[in-house]
Amino acid sequence: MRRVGLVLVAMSAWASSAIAGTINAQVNSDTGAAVASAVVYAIPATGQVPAPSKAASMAQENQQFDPFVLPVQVGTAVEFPNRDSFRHHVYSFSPAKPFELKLFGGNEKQVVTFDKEGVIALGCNIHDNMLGYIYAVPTPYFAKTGEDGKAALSLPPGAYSVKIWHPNQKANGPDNSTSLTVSAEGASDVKAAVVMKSERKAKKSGAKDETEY
Amino acid sequence: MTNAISHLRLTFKLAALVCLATSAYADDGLPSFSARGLIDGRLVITDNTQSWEQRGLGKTRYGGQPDVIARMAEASLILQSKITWDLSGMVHLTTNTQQKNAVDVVEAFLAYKPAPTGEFGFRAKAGAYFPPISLENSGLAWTSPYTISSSAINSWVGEELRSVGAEVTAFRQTDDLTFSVLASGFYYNDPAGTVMAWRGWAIHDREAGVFERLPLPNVRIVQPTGRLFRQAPYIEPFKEIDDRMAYYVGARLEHEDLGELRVMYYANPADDLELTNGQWPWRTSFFAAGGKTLLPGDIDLISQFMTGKTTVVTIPNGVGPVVNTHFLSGFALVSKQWDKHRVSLRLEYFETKDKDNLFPDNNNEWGNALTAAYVFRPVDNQRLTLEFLHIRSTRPERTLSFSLPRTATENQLQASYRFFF
Repeated sequence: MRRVGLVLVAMSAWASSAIAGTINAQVNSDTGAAVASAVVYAIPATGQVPAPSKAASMAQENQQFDPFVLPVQVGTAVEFPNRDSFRHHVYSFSPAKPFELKLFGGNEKQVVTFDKEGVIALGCNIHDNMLGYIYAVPTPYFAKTGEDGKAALSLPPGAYSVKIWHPNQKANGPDNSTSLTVSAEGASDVKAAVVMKSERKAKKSGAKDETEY
Repeated sequence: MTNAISHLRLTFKLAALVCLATSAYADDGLPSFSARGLIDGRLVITDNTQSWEQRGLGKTRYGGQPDVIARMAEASLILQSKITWDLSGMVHLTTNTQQKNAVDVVEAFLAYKPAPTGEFGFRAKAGAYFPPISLENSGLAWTSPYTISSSAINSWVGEELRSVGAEVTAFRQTDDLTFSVLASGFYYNDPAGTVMAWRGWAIHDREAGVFERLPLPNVRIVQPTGRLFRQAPYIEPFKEIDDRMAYYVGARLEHEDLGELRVMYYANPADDLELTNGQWPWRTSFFAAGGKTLLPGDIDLISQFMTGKTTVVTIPNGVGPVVNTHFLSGFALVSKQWDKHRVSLRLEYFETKDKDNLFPDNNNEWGNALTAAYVFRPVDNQRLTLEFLHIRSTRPERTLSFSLPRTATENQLQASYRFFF
């Protein structure tokens, strides 16, 4: 089992205006490689958050989920468009939202509202190699790292608990949450470490070439 | 003639099963149909041994030809139908230059597989299907992505085992762990065990269709002066003779990071005295286990093990079976893929033990084999495989029936070009 330490450097940064601050996160493995598709989210200490307003979409295209990881605020209605020409039978058995969608090809879309916090692992009952994740967080302040491991959150000044999640993070790894205060001016550095699982999950053993019956 | 009629009947039943179910649920753009398949052209250099295909005791698919031979090793067509969102049908048709019928059916079944949205779930299938033993044959049309020839265990599964019945799997799943139990009751596999006893293990890639007739080595006990001379000079593995149900039960543990483990117990409690059309039902039972994982360095490791026994013509009053053969085999395969290349190495051991002393036949055997393969996939739908197979085995019956040395070393070099469509 390969262990990868993640280091989060969060900088509460100078605000572009008096209203919003910024957290710039850099998520790396302990070997220095950037980690993509990690969700960085900040929960206000007050517990007060606005209702979800962002649109979200989890497409199926080229027999894959796109994006691989989709962070949403709890209560968000997520669209599932099927951009392939053939059917997908999307399902999840995750306790946060068990569901199934029967989607014909040619851009048929259906909507599912994710009303509980947590991980929703997605599969397709027709194409076993398809794998995707929705991560429902109790805050509108979240971002996902790009290929460079960077993520930027724009949020009002105040006290926050900042957390990171990745589908391959080890369940019993150390707590990676950290508290910081975002101010309209100035910056604060935060470091946190997450233990990762191996990335075997993503590359199921053997050739995925022509196995689907 | 009766054979032909029963073939037709079974074909009709299998086809009707798929068609009826298909027409009954036509709505919402369903059912849908699709066809896929592959063609496999082969160049082979082989030792001058008498292959089991030529009624000999050779262990390779090809033999007895001194030069390079070119063969159409397989053409397979997979017809699939999505009948409802949860119900699908599949028929695997195959042809090659060695099988009895121009076209044969390898598998044909209906599968009920609802989306597993809960902690507990189940799925089922009915028709003609492979018992889920092989961890190698995960490719289209039961091919292996690793080698051309299947291991001894899975070669035997391919030639003698097919279940015509129903299988139910129940499972419990958590985030990264799925535990399944499965059970199947089936018919039409009574002669399974004949090949194992009289020919022993072999290593090849020719799975038999359900109407197939496999060559039987011309060993003493089935010769005109032998005790079981009424055995036909061939084996029809997929016949129901005694109308007794056979079964298997199994369990499977799949962990997303660690891999997969399978165990199975199989039993055909046949009436092994009831000869029909030159075929006996064999009382066959075995235990099979297998595991698959990814080693550090992204190396696939697959290993399987099987042990069991098969008997025929059990004479009552404590006399015992005329043929009683115990069999055992195990292999380990490692494989590494990078870009368009894959190399695989497999080592295996196999043996059979003759446990009867009633009449002259000697079904003892022991041997081992090495398979090395290189796969090149220039594009997704084409695959070039180079395989070297080396088998060394000892079988006293080679001397007793064929006046050959009891120990044989067989080498076979194959180049396969597979085109998928």
